[in-house]
Amino acid sequence: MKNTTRRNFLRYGSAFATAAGFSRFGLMNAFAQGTSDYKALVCVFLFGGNDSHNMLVPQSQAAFNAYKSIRGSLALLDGSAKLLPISASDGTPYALNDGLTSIAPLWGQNKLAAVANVGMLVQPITRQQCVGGTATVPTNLFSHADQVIAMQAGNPNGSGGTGWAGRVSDAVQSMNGSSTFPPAVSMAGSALFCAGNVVQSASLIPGFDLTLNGMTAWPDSAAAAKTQALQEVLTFDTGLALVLSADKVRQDAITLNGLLKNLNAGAPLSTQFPQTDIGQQLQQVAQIIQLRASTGMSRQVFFCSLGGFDTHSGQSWGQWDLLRQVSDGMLALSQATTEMGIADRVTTFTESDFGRTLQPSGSGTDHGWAAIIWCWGER
Amino acid sequence: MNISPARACIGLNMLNLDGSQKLDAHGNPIPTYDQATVHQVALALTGWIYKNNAWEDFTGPLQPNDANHDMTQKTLLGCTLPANQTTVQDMNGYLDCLFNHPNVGPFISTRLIRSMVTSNPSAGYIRRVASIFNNNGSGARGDLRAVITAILTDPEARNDAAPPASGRLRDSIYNLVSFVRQLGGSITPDNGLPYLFAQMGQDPLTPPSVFSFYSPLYHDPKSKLFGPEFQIYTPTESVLRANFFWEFISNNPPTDVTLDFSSFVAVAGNIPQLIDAVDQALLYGRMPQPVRQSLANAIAAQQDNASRTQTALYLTALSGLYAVQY
Repeated sequence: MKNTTRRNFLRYGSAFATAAGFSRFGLMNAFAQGTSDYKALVCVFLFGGNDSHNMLVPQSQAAFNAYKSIRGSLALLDGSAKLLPISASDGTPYALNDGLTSIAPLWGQNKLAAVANVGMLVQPITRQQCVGGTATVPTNLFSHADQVIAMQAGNPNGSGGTGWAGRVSDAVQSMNGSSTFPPAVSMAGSALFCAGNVVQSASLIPGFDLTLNGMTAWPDSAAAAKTQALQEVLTFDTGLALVLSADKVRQDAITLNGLLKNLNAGAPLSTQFPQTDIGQQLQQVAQIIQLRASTGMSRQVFFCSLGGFDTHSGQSWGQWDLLRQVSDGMLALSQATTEMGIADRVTTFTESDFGRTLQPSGSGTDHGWAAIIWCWGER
Repeated sequence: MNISPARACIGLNMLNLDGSQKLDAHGNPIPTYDQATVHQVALALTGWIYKNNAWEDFTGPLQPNDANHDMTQKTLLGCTLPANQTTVQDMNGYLDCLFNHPNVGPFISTRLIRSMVTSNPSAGYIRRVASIFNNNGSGARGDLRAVITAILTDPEARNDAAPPASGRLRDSIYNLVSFVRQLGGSITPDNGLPYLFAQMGQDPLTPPSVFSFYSPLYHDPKSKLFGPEFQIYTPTESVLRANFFWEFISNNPPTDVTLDFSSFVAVAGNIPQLIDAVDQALLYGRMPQPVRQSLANAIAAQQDNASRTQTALYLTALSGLYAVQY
């Protein structure tokens, strides 16, 4: 599946833009304001509900004892993961799951932060109110389908049909000037996260070439007639909403392909990304950021994801390996932003459906509520 | 206790017969169950062990072992399972209770209509089908043959003048397999196509979550209508799918696919006849006149009958009119 990845991106990289192409893609605008104003957000969504209790473990004696007594057989360290000692800014000791070995050094460099207890709330609530059912809680807590939507929508009932990154992109649209490159791009298929009221979500599979194979013909006039007809077919107003939406997806692909083909990537990044799925997604993020002078973009949001975190059983090794994949990819992205000289302009963070229960159920854990997330970047 | 299974049968909130949510006095949805119910169901389902009590022996069904079963009384979803029932009796009691829950009719009917006819059925359509689920006319509940018949013969499914919100996006497997079938072709049973579907987010028999390949709650971001299949249909997938079509249509179809275009090529000298043939095969004869004209212009520019046929089929397959079943 990913065999064509690098080849296709080399193709983008070797393409060079014409002057006419540049102005269409807002390069003049980029030159005018310079790229020093660039900022990007990168979301890494951990699908399934990451058990963050085993990602960051308390080490002060009382807290660790409490953790150990509730976690039982799942308490770290166990046979799967070792613990990497760190300390909070006030000196409180914690430890990282050693699946995070590659990014652990970022903690000491103040480039990595844990944000505790991130989750949806309708209103402040006590444990007593929650158990007694006397306060309103978010809609359908503990349900994957609903909480994935709520976390991406950024509200506790998942309503509105837009994602919070899409709405952020709506709000900063003017900062992207006349650029027509999509401001919110998913590397992991269509994502509600990226859909705004104005801004449409776009997606790219890493390295994928968006060329339609069936449009060539001999002579050129025959190919031109096909292209013309396809354009007409895709813009014909059928009056049917879903048909128009399906047509728009193909139009977006044609537009996006035109943009990517005409971009000038410059020298390829020397940072090596892992050959994992998440590693390749983050590499594509870095490569699009690298194109910022050509795209003319000043504010961008990216969505990547990794699945498999719904660890009802067999959690220990499974979670360790998933964290390792995320960590290795994160480190590469961090290095790439340093290589591009914009490490202080790209903020990356994790999200997940929800946290998981502290008490184990067999060799795994059940669906929970709030969780610890990571943010990393430089000041 | 994994809390996901019951959601797949009755959903999370109490429903009216027409699929709309019941609301409490404050206008809020009413949950179908709470954590206490989950606990009671967990107790009812205790006592099941692997085949021959061999850990993770998946070669046969689970076996009941009453020594491991909770024998207390359970109350769940409005039902009572009396004390001292066996493992099997409690399981059957739970399944009967779940099956008779009033949500099952509208919940399952909505899912089936979305999967077969339209992503945005009217309340009346759901109510008509759910009524048949509840009673097939002869007093039987859950007669799926009657339910499917009701879904496919409903006026809303047979409406030739499609209302603006009607239809459902074909997912990639459905889109490509129906293309081959509509053209009278065939695909060998041991075909090598799954990896091409996997590229489009639909690895056959390998969905990424308990919700299969896309969430039943997904909304098409452009129209804001329900459009579950749009979750795995973005610019990238649209191109992959288009290129898959081209492999079928061009002279190099995948080795496991047999397609014969000779009947189209035979009429390709006559543009209206060619378009009619493609329209009948793929769009049920409903291709709008402006689209026919666009196709005719492109076909006329091609140099031979094979290219003309390919152009007609390809442009039609790429149209939203074909991507969406309506």
